Amino acid sequence: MSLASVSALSTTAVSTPAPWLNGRSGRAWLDPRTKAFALIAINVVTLSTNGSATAWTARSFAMGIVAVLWLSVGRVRTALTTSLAFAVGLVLVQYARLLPGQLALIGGIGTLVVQFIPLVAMASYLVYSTQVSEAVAAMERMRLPRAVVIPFTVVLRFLPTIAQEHRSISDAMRMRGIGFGGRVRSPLAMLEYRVVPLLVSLVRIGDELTVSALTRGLGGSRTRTHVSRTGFGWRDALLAVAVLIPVVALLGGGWRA
Amino acid sequence: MSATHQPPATATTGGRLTVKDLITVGVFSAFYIVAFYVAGMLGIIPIFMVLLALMCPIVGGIPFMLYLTRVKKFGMVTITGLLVGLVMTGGGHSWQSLIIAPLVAFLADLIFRAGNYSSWKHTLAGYFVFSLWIFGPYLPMMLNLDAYLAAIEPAYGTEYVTTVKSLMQSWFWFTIPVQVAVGTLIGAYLGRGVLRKHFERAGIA
Repeated sequence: MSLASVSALSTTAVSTPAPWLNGRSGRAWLDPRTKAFALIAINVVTLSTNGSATAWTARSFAMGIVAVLWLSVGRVRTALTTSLAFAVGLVLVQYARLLPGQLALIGGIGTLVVQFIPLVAMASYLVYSTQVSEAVAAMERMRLPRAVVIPFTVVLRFLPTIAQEHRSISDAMRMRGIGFGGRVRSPLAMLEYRVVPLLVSLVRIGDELTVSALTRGLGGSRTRTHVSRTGFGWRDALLAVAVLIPVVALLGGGWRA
Repeated sequence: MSATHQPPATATTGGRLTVKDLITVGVFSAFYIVAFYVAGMLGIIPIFMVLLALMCPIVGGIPFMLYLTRVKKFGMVTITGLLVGLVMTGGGHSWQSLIIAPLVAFLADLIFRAGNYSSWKHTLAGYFVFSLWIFGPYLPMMLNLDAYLAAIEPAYGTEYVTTVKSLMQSWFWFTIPVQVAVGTLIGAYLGRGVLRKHFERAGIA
């Protein structure tokens, strides 16, 4: 019953898990809670407005951690492209002001890239590498109330669904020639044409999900058990220490919000 | 919790949030987050950056008004605020949103409850308060403008920094509540219009 109610909320079928999802012990490589902690730490490091040399080193270090995480799940290309974009951003931040006149402004793009790439890469790693059932198990072990766990799970489950439904609606609209080039003049009307069908289909999917989840026992009064095992191991300790290094370095160098 | 029997087809006012309600909360929170993100993308164009506080309540209006007809229980908006804060922090916003969003959402929830989740005046007021969470992403800049500008100065150049400083120094922050208020009105009325035109007819409001 518990497995069923969990998989009612998961996006992908749990057929053959990748080796890094569940190790030999049946436990995930990294506990979702460790990943969430790392995300917050990286947020603090990258979004800090500190412009000192220490801060830039700390951000590079954070980027390195995220790249290693992507490598650990076998996504070499993602690790390389994000690191490369980050490096280009750093170069822009350092040298764009040497460019003549208005061109110096592209240094601003560099700042944006340097601040956001590590963070977005970390967030997408978290979503990519964590199964929904794993996230649920971790949240329940944190004793989070059901009123938080269920909606949060639904949000994770629905973000890709929204994108998919939106693509279908866009295709249908393009096929019928509905767009700013044609009959639609007002941006508010455009908003209506895009949002209404999307909401209708999402509400219907949500209703189906509800029926499915209730049928599988979500909301029962019994305490649920989990197939996915969560817990902390040496990898978690390693990651936690690694992400704390740039945070501490920044604090030492006079952290600013 | 008695969730074994079929939940009522229409939303009931009051009481605890059932599993069905919680899933609805998740669905609409996800939609609101995506709508906000899409609106935020326009912030790459500088004029929209300054008008973000106006755009976001407009874009969120339709889903939010429908949301309020689907669940009418205390706590729903607070959870949405918490989720918005969580996802925004993960998606590139400053961590301050994580505190501000649930806080204003809780206040909005109190207002909605005072209006029994159906009074239009309370809906407008509550949606306005909820939309104020947009202060979250602005806050680091607001509290530490000088530090922020000093940090970007080598990259953007002194001229740019002076311009931004003159634009953002004090009066800009006062335009945010005004922008949110105007955006709330447009978004809420648009949402109510769409609700009557489409959703009530389709039987999902």
